[in-house]
Amino acid sequence: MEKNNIEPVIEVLKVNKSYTMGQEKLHVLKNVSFTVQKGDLLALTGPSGSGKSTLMNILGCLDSIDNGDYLLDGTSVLKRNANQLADIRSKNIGFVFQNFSLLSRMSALENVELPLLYSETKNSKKKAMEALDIVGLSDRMKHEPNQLSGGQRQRVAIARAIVNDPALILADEPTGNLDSKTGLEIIDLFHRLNKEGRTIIVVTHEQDVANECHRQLHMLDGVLQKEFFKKRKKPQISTDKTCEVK
Amino acid sequence: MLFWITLKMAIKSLYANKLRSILAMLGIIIGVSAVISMLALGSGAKQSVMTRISAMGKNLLVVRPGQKRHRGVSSGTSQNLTLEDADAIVKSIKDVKMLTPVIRGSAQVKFENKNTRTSITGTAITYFMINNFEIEKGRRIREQEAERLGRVAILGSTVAEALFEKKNPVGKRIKIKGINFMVVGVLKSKGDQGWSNPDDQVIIPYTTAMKILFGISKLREIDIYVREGAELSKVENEITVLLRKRHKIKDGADNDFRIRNQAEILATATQITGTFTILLGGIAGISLLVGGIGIMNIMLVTVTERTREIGIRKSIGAKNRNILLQFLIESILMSSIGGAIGIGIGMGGAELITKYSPFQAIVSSFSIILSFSFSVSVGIFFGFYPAYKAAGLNPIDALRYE
Repeated sequence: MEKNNIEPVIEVLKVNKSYTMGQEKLHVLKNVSFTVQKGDLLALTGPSGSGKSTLMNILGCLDSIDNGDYLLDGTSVLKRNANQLADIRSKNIGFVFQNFSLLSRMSALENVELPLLYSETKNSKKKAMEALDIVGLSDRMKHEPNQLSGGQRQRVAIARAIVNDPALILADEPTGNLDSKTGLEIIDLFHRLNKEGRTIIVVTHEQDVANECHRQLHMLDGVLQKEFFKKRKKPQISTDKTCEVK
Repeated sequence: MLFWITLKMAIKSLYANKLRSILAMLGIIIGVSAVISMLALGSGAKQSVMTRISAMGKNLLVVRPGQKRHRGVSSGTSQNLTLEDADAIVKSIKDVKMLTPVIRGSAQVKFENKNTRTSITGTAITYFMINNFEIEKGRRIREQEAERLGRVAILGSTVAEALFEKKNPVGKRIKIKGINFMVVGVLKSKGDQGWSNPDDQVIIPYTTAMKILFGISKLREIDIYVREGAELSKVENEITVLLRKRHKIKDGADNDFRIRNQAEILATATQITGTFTILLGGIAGISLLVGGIGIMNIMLVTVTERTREIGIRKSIGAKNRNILLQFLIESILMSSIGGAIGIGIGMGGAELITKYSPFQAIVSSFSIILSFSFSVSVGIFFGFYPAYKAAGLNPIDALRYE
């Protein structure tokens, strides 16, 4: 019960989610609750089928929830229509995918600029250049994705994720398709962005990557298991009510 | 800005699938070029019919003897139009500006050792004005010659060539049925009109034709020129009433003459060529529709192929309408490029038709605008469903799509 001059970026309250597969009903998320504070660098781990991808989709406003509540940047995202969700995605969330997910036939600069165009932001070109500068790719702006290495592609994807200055960056297995050295570079980049005050959630099953983060949430069978804190965690990260282990 | 990037993307993605895009466009290309060249053929046909008909003179009524009928069976042409009938018409019907009696027969025409069989037209001086005949060389028949059995002749260009080849016939003596005539002029060629060739005739004074050449007292036809602005059908009725009275035809009995109304022929011809144009245009339009289906097919394939791309776009904030617009632009681009190419080919085709076939093809700006806007509409119409399908994709499903 310290401070709390820091507002939470994410509040997930007793979220349930189930899918119907044929006759079977799969309960994918069971009463999941947690909070992410501004400036957190958090790892979400768990074996496949544990529900971490579903949780990630919900955090990214790509999927709906059955019950419970999800507050992003202080406002509930429930009962939003497709267009409002698209708006939230473009302004508040930056996605980084395992397979980079850049659009081919568009230059790095155009790829980074695209979220700004969808959110109708002014000075889009200048902002896109700045974002590419942050990830250290100012000299590759005119290149198309197939002219870039895997690490460079992922850095373009990260530039695209931060270009709108979102409250939250969601990275789904960002190092999964990279060799370990390049993977480390990407993790370093995340650390740097985190130090600049960005909130980042990394979904991963690589323990090395998870160990690099301040906090780790572990999922198993749709239940949030336990939370690991890194020894030298930042003081402002609250230790209360961050996890309700069932 | 988003629009330009979207357009650029659309161009790049069409270019990336060159062969497929061209094949999809092919339907539109064929459709538009068919529409352009068929409509050109239609309006060419219309124009040539119009020129031919107006070459015969507008505001023209032609009175001819009717079929002689005996108990419902035709027994040849009745001979009952007289010079007096013509006089009565010109005197009592005020909308008749002028008329000319016409006698026709065929005869052997000789000059030195050359001869030809041709149609002889005996007529008055007004004939030239009424029937739009112009003189190429020499002069017309004078009034005195027309009324007083003048032995002068004006040759049609075909006859002049047959008898005189390149020589000037004016002032030469020819023999018609063995009777001497002096050639005073040559008609300017009008071209074949299908059912008669006005270039293949010799024109002589009607008095000469009746009394000297053929020895008949009845007229073959009366050509009547109606005052400009008068209603042809009204004048036609007045003439009918007058002639029935003069020929003492009982009420209920058939006319013993026929009146041909040039305006009616013109209207019929216009209608026929109009129908012809609609028919050709319709067939071409169907191929344009088929082209649209081709585009829709390719767009559906494209949307399926690019499901992941749609997912990525949605995850970085694309709204449904952004996606809709993107695919719609692509299909419109495809159909309008196809349309433009089709217009080029169609115009080239029309040129070739005009050059290498007896038909004339006239490309109108109307048909260009029509077929281009139609091909754009085809792009919108057939692109909408695939684009709508793309826009409605669920972002997670789209992202997971392999």
